[in-house]
Amino acid sequence: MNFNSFVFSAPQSSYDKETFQEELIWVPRKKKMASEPQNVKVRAASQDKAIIKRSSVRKFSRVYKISHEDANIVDTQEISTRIQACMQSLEFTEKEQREEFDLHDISFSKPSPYSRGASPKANSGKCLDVQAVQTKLIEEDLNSKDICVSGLNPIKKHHHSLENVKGCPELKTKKTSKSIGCFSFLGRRKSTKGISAENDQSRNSSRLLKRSSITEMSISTSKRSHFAETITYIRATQTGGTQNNYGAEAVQQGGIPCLFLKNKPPTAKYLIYFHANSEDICLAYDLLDHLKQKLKVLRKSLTLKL
Amino acid sequence: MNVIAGEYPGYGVYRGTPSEKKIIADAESIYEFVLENFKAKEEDIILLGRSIGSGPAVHLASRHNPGALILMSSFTSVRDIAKDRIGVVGQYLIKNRFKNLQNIPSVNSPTLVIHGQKDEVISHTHAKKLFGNYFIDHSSSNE
Repeated sequence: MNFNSFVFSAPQSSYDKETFQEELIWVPRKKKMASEPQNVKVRAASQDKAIIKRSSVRKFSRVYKISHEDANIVDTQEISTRIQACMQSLEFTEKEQREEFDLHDISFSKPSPYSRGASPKANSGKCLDVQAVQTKLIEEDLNSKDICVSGLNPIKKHHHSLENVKGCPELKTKKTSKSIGCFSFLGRRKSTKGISAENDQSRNSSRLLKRSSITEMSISTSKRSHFAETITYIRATQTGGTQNNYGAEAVQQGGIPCLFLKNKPPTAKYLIYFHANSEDICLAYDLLDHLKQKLKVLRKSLTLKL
Repeated sequence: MNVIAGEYPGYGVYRGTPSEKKIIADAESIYEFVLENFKAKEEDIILLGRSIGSGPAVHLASRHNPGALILMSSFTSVRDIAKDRIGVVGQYLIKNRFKNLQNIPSVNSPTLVIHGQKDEVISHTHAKKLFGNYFIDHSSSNE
C-alpha cells in the first residue's frame, strides 16, 4: 500500500506563478534518472544493514536538452536554405582555393564569454549555453547577409585544435579532410571598393570562417538537426519571462518550479533546500530568506570574480 | 548564500502526484542544474533537508560530494515513522520510502543533524540513529 496522501500531505497551494514572479525559476527535468546506486557498490553487510561505499565520482551531462518535439517547431528547411545561400555568396582568394595554406593563416577562435564562469543572468537573464550563444551568432550573421559562419564546433574543439596543431607540423603544408575539423582559419574575402583596408583587416581578425563546419552542416543531417534544436532553444529562451525566470514556455511545461533567492553581493555558495511535507516553497520563504541573510559563509576564494 | 528550494510534485504550482521516485529525480535535476547552470562547485553546495526533505537530501549527499549536509527533523525511513505512530504491525501497511538509515553511511560530506527533543511527529531517536549510522563509515575521521 502506498498511502500517498498520508505520507505526502501537501497543503493547499499558498502561491501562484505571479507571487514569485521574480524569484521563481523553472529547472528542466532530467530525462533519464540515474539508476539506483550508479556510483556506489555494496561493500559489506553488517548488522543487517548494507554499508555502501562510493566507487567513483559521477560525471554530469548537460542540463539542457531540447526534445525532438521542440525541434519540430523550427523549419529546418528554411535554415539549410539560408545557409546554402550564404555559402554561395562566399568568395575565396586564390590562395584559399588551392588546397594548401600556411600555418600563419590558422587562427583559433577565442572561447565565448559565456563559456565559463559567467552567470547566465549576466546575459539579460536568458539562459544560454556556449553552443546556443555561438549558434545565435550564426543566425545573426545570416540575417545580416554577412559571410561569417562560425561556432558550430564546440569550444572544446578549439582547445584540442591548439594542441593538435602544435603536435602536427605536417598540417603546415598539407590540408586533409581530417585536419579541417581540427582547427579554423581566417576566412579571407576579396576587398570591395566600399570597404577600407582597415575595416577589412579588423573584420578578418574578428570573424572566423570554418569550411569544415559549413560542409558538415550542409551535408550532415544530424548536424542540421542539432543546429535546429539549438535554434529552437534560443527562441524558447528569448520568449521567456522575467529576468530571474529561466524558463521559457517550453521549459516551463516540463520544468520543476524552484524558489531562487540570490544573495547580494554575489557568492558562489548555494544552499539547496528540500522542504517538509506540510509546506511548500512559499511557506518556507521566511525561513529561507532568514537563512540567506544570516548564513555568512563568504570566503575570498568562494566569491565570484565579476 | 544563494538559496534554491525545489518544489515537490503535487505541491504549490507543481502539478502531479508526489512519489519518492519523482522527488528524488527532481532533486537530481536541481542539483545538476546548480552545477551546470550556475557553474557551482560541489564543495560550494550545502544540502538542507527538513522532515521529508531529508530523504532527497540524504540521497543526493550519498551519491555526490556536496560541501555539507544539514538535516532538520530527519527520519530513518518512512516506515520507521509509521512504526512509531501506528505500531509494529501497522508499519507494514505503508511502503517503505526514503531509506535514510541505509544511505547515510555513504555520505562523505560533513553533516549536521538538528532535531527537537519534543518533536511529536518524528521522534528525536531517528536523528540519533542517523547520527550513529553516519559514523559507521567515518569512524576514522575527525568530522
